Amino acid sequence: MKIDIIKEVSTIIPFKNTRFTSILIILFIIALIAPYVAPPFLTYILLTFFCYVPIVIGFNLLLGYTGLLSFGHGLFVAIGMYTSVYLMRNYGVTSIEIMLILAATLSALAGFGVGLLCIRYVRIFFAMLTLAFSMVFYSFLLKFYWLTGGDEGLGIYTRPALLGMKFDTLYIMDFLTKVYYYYVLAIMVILLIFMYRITTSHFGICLRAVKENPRKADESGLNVKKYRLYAFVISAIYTGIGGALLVQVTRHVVPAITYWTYSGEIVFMTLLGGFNYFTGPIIGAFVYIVLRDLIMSLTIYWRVILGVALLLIVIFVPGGLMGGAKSLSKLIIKKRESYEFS
Amino acid sequence: MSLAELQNVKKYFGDVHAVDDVSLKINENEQISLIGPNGAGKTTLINIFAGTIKLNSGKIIFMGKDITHLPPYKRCELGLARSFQLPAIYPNLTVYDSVRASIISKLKKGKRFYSSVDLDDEVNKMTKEVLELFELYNKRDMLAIKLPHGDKKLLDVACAFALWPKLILLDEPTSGVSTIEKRKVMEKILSVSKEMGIKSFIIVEHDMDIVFSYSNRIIVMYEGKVLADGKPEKIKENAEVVRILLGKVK
Amino acid sequence: MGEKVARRDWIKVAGAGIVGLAIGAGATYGLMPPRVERIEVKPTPKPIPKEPLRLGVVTFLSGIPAPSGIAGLRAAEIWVDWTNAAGGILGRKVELLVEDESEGVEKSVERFKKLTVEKGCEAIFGTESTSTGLAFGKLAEEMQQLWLSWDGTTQQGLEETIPNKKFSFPSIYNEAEAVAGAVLVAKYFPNVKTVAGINDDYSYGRNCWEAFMSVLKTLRPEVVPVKELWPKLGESDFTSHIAALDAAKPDLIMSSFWAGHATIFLKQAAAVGLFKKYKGAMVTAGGVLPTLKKEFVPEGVLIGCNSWYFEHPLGWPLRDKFVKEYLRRYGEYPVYECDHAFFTFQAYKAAVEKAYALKGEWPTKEEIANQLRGIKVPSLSGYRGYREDNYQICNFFLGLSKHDPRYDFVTLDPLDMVPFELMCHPPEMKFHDWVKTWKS
Repeated sequence: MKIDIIKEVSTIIPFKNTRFTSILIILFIIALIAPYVAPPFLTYILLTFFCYVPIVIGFNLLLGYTGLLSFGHGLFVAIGMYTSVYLMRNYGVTSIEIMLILAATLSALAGFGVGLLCIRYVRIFFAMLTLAFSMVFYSFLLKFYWLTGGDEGLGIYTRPALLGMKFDTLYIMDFLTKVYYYYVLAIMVILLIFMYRITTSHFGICLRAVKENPRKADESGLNVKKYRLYAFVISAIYTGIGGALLVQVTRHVVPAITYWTYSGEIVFMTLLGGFNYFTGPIIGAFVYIVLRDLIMSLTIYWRVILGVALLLIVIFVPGGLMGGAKSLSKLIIKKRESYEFS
Repeated sequence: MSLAELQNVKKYFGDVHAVDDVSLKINENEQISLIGPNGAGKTTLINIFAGTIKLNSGKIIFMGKDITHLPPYKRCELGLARSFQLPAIYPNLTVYDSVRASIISKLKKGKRFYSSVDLDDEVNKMTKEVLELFELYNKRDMLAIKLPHGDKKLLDVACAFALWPKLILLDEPTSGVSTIEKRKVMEKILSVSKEMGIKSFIIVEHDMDIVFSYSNRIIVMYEGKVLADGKPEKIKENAEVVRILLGKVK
Repeated sequence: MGEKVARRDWIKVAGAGIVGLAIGAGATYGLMPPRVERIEVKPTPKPIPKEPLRLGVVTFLSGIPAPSGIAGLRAAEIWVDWTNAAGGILGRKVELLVEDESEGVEKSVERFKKLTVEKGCEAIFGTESTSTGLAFGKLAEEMQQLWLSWDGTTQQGLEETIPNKKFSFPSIYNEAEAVAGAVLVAKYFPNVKTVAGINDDYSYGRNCWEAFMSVLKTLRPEVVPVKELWPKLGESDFTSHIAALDAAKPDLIMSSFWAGHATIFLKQAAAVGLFKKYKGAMVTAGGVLPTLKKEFVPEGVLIGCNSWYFEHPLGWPLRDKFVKEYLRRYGEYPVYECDHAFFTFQAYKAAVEKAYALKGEWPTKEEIANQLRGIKVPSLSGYRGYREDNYQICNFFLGLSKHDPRYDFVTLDPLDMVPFELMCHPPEMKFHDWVKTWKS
């Protein structure tokens, strides 16, 4: 089969839309040079954000594209994290690629098992069930403390090898912000491309049909449950990989990751950015992580402030930040057009 | 060989016998009109046929297979498609994507996770064909929810046709459309079905003019039972049918 | 040569689809040599920096442990005010930067890095929770940043994971108060045969119960546990637990509740007169001593106050001055976290001054750490210090509750001061091996 590379690439980068393409390129260049121009801590925050990107876009495959609100995605973040930590501590694994592959595999298996039971339900029942699974895992992590470290969690004390290269002598912040940063950036970009292709694939269209009208989709020959299950598994894989990337930054994992408040944060980021857009959750994650960092140092009531912000957004800009931006730009274009005509 | 067969199908909602012991045989090349007063059980029969609701007892055979307990999507895979009385659309999908979903389902390409559907010429060619037949192609980028009512109905029908079914069940495709438009819609549906080679369908319809001019078999339902079944001219002569239908119309 | 090889390897990354990465990667390799700052021989010592000295505090400002964390923070603020009024550290004014610990390890780690990297804090103080402590211990070593913990040192965690601590200074062992409690139970309640325990279902609660029983069994081999209850942390209704304890009819009830839930438990227990029927050992409840009112705490319950009791017959001027100041500012009595916090700052100041005396210029973090090891400074409860293996040294106060007409809460009489050596195993030994060496 012949593959037209230019055509394939054009499905990801819309060359025709020059404004969008140039924004993409500018953002990518900023991401590339950030470690050398931005203060180290800002780079560190960016790194944290990169790790969250697979988590939120994985989550949004369920919410935005399948119409299922999971309130237990912390479960898969935790699986990714604990898998990495376990491999490093108990089996002396250093290769991060092995950790990522295993984290993805285990998340997929867990996603399959949990998904099989959860996709029978929709709406609040689905949310509650996923939440319940996550909380069961939370109790497991706490109770089996000889295995999991209990409430204290588990730390990692060695550094991962990236593509077989070790960086043990580097200062930790340099390792994170100048080496690991690029590694995560690369993985994030690859995962983004994959996810974008998934959402625009044959599968993606069917998934959206399932979201928009499951009854009609069913009568149109689409096995609704199967599509939901596939989406759940893909979502779990993404989230697991995100967790495995993130744990190298936090270097410690605690059961609190599976507590519902953490899953709530993932929901928060996605709603903030707008779940109807591919880029929505990404922007939401960025704004949330940066705002959190700024407000957290100022007041302990930062959750209240962010909560009120979300409330306002949900009430006044239901499309999230992306939705707001879109309607704003439409408004501006309309105004400009009316000027031109007048 | 008959295309489909209903054997002693029963559906009760509490004390209401919505469909009461109906047996039918449907052959290829039949354009059937299903008529009867409101509450006669027409839509229920369609829903049972398509698998939307479960029956209490009876048996449904389609293409020689017992489909009584198959879920709707499996019936669809066998070649049974339907449209809805209240148009069923994918509200936030574009017209184009709505039809593409059906085409992908028809071609069994739904499990292609990574191939760009925009680059799939087969899917896009077929989608364009269907949309042009239904004269929806110039509205292809509109969200389904933004369409006017008539177009929503048409889109619903188009999605069903895009499955290239062996038998299509159309539940009042012209409801909510003005009398003048009704003929247009029906002619469209008929011409498209000829174009696409879909020969058999069952239409639930109220308008007697349309019923008698566009079908070659008429089934009359009354209070959950089949009252009459036959060629249009025969039905016209059936005194009881005339009494019930005309009585209701009056 | 090495550079070329590395570049080729990095091109593999680029091959994965991101060509631009090679730019960053090439530059990254320039960082490969370890970051060791060579000490050059300088002709004249550098003057002491003029800008204020920034010290970071990460502690609980909200959530269940907040009363404790806030008490520590208040003590830190009082210390800063006093120190700045006296001219600061070597003339440098001290500035506190505070972050909340209650958002979990992930965010606390981020806070630690923010304070260190962005805010330029010279040292990080605080932490209450064992999980944050575990993460910070490692973080301090990795970041080469001083960390002086107030509380919540997990025993095996830090010992196993960071055998040679350079920059991390954990608090006293988690289960020290349980060990002291067991020793005093053996002393005051010699006839105890059966023990029931109610402890929080997490590492601290488990450590305490385990250590308590292990020491008590060594001293009184006939003692048997008859009931173990593990309510989860954050529980506030203990009526069913109290019924279960009552049903077990133990000679002694042991608990390591340490915050508001200790007060609630004692209140609810008073309804059935639990501690009038059975002996009690609340080994950590003294942390909230001012809330243990006389109405619901009978006399004769063994209460542990950690390192701090608000008055002492022998007297200690710094304590009296602090209690007065604390009462004036906040209208309540200080608790033990104040002492821990105050001590860490005292120790830091003394170490800086000692290192300066040797070197003649503002010392590096490593040099400060070297001076902290083995240091002894006056704190609120008396002289306290750091052991050679970076663990805190302090004496603990425990005693039997007494109703003193001068106060509305229970006081301790007799009051015992348990020395550090009796509660904490020496660095070269494991806890259980150490307990085995005891002979009653």
